[in-house]
Amino acid sequence: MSMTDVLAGESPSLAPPATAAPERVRLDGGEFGLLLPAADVVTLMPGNRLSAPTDTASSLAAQSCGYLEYGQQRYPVFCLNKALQLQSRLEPCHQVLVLLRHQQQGFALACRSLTKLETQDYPVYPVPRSMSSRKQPFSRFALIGEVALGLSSAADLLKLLQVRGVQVREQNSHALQGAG
Amino acid sequence: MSSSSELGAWLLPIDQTTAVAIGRYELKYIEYVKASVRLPGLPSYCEQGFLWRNRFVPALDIHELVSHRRSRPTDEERLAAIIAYENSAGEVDMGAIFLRGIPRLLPVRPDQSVAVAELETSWQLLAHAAFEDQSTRYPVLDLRALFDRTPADLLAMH
Repeated sequence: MSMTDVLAGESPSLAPPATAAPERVRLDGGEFGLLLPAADVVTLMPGNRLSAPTDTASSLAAQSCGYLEYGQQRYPVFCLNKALQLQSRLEPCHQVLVLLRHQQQGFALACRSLTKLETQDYPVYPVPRSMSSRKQPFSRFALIGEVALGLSSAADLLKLLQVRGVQVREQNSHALQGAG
Repeated sequence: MSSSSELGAWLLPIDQTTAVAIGRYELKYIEYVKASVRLPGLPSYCEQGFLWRNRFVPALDIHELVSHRRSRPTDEERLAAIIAYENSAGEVDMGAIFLRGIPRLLPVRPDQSVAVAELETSWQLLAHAAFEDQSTRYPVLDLRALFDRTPADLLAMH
């Protein structure tokens, strides 16, 4: 760290690292895995909180599995398969719904589990060009226990949803003030 | 060193009846891969890679790419040719090709050369040269085209 990285009058020992890695949680999607910033997670809910789409004629209803209610708001729930394609139904292993937020956009992703990482010390590799796709919500991945976990975020997942033709609308600002 | 040895090529078996060729200096190592990892969101021919000497090496199943048929899913140990190529930035990069047999080094003479256009269509976009040996035509893989392109770009060529 250079001296210019330290704010005037601040002790160097108190200054945060210039590139502090966010604390991440591990999302087990069944056939894929992601590491997400813990700060992007609003709350977890059991899969049985999923409600069927009400407006089945809407394009969002066709691309989501349904919705969940949280803080008097409804959020669309999405389910991805190994190819990271949207599924209209939860996979049998998907028993957890993770409500995520990016700015004022909230949505839920179905998964097998979401767990806190025991360590933040893991090797990270860039995705090689021959293995990269704009339909992946990550450009780097971690290897933990011989499993590749994409370093992703709610913002990256929203981009993937956009690529898949989904527009997640913004919510009221108070609606996503959850557990964070 | 004779000119014939300089033109040598490695024949890489990619299924029980098909072999492809790469330049003799492009093959660096042959390894049994015990643990490969998969990334999601990819065609099966390019979804695997493995750690080798502390670097992540992407692996291609050329047979799957060309045949559009998925090989038997397996977590068994697989033989792989670790290759080196020059990427578009002019740097040497590495990749791997899954094998179904042991590679064989073959001397190749200039008069064995055949036009890429004479290969089967599926090979024409993956090869930058070709030659014939004992009545069999072998595509010489264009490693940069294979490894320095995204799957979407590569498949768009087909």
